[in-house]
Amino acid sequence: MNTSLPPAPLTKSELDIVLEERLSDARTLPADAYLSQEILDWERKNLLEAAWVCVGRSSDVAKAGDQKAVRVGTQGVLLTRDESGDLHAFYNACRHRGHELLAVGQCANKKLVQCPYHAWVFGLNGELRSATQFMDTENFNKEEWPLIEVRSVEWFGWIFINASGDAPEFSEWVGNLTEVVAPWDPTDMVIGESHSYTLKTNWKTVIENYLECYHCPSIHPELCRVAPPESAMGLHQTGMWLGGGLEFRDDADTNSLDGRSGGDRIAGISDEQARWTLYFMLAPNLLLTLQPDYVMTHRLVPLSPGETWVECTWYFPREVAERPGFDPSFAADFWDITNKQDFAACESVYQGMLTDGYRPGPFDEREDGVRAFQAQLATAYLTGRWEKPLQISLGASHVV
Amino acid sequence: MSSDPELTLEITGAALVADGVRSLRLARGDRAALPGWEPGAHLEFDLPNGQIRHYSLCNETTDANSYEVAVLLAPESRGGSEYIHNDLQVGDLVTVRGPRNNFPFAIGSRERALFIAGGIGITPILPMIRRAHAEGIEWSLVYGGRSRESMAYLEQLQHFGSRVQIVPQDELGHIDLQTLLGVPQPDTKVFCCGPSGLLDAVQQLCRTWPDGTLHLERFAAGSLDASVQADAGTFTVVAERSGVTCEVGVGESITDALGRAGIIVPTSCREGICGTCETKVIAGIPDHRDFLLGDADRESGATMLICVSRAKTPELILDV
Repeated sequence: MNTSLPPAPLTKSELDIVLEERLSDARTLPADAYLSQEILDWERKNLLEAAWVCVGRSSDVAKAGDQKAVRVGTQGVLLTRDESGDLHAFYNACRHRGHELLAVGQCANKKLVQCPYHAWVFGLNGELRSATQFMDTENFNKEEWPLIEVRSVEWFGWIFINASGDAPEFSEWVGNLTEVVAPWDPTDMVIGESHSYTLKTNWKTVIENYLECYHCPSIHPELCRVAPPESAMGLHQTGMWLGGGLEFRDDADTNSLDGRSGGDRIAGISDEQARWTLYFMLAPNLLLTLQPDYVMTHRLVPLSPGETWVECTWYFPREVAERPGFDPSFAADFWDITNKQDFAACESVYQGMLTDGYRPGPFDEREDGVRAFQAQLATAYLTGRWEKPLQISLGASHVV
Repeated sequence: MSSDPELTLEITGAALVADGVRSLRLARGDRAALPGWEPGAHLEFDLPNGQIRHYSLCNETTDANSYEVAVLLAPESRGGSEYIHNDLQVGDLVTVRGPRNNFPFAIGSRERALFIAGGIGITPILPMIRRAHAEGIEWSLVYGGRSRESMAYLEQLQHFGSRVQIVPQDELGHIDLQTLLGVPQPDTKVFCCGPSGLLDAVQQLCRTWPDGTLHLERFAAGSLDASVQADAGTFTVVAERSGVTCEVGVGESITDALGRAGIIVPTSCREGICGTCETKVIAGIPDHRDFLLGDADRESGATMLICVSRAKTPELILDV
């Protein structure tokens, strides 16, 4: 995977300028990084499969026998939950002739994993249980044909997969984000609402947009009503994430159209934590937003260079979500408006990149998060490896 | 119908272990090691009267050279338990298949096990208790029966002290399931075996518990006989699309009965594992005997594996 040549059609000089030491000397990635199918193919293999990719929620495969097939980069992966409650992940290919065990995107609940082609059957732990009418063949030993396991981990109720098998340990990948998220403890939170959007833009523009609030005064009147963009500050990170916070105005309690909460403050957080929205990009595909009374994620799946699927989900403490009459729309309505403002901007940026006049541009200090993400990408394009991102301040004088 | 090896075993011991409960020890003629098994496993017996019966293994899983089962003489025995009680003698040979396990003791190391046994339903629970005890898993047992005299293995269980609660009906009435199960307990799995009335009540109360809590082994509906009676009972199958009606006989599968009537449903494993013969049920309630369908599919009864599953209603209408 190590290479000194960036993937075609990128050049070393185009990437070196993203990595300039001084922010003011640095420039954004070239358009080809967003437009080229060749780059996306490279990213799927070298960025997504080599990372810990979020593929959904533990509750997607909650019960014994639950099965779900997902895509990670170019790989199909089958998730199963066994009788002991343990999660397993396997390459989604039968050991016989390679038929998919379940079509990607589909779910099932069965006591066994069943290949639809020749009816081979595997246990939820991957062991071959029955190769129908194959057993009389001499030298056929069932134990030699289990499904091939893929690394998986559950973190605060989200499932992450490392398809390449050689990413750093997950605890190292997330670094201190575990401590930062712990007071919210989203593990047992339940989904109040979930929207999915298919955007006509490259997946990286969605992450870049999330990493800066320089655009907030121009396009987010509702967000600016509850949180002043100038309150942005960066968070000290030790893992593969970038993050920052926005402080609420004195008269706002949360991110909603009227600044009021329709839920309860999360039990584990401090008074100080309740004054901030914390935004995290956990590479490569999860945006995690912690708020005083709820948690939100955006999970990204690139579909093509110019098309990205985004699932936006709002999570609430179980006792709040199950309260009669609870209505998650105070959160979902606010963010649906804000999402659409952001997504329109991301789609427009993509249109601009498609013009012959697009050139790499400069970064403002408030965009050092965008620069840090692009520097991670530029480094990966040059070395074939994920490196930890630069520390960011989002334009603030200090980092918390 | 089964890929499990057939074993011819000798009855090496027999004892009356409670009123109406006879235990049998079985071993190979040369006393060589037998296939290993896990708590919850059973053996399938071929009885000389042509019946097939399933009995849970209840000795130590570490006992490599013998199997033990305990059989209740059912008041309305269909012949299986009566034969085992009255005709089988030490030295006789029996044909069995297995062991198989439809009732695995699936528990996490930090979870608690709550065992509920009714009458002869104690048999699959005993090895689970030994396993839990050996592995340091927190457990407790509530064991009900008609009277102390009718309840097998009481002496063994008394060694476990207060973890075991004995509820003879003639002294204490029924098990107080409401107190036991009324409030869902965190990190607890419930393992239950016994007559259908007990299982139905336990199943009802466990509805408010988290999914996956309850593990149970059901004897034949409405019977105290510990046999699962895999092949008992005839019923009618209507093949809706083909416009054919046929009787499924004792010991016959639905696929075989349909085959007699000229309707070929493709099958592969013919043991309820591979799913090739999964068929939509238009009317009637299936008696699922397969190893594949999940709980929701099982409960909905919308499909069934017709190579092994049977009917709870006198008639099944299938989409074939």
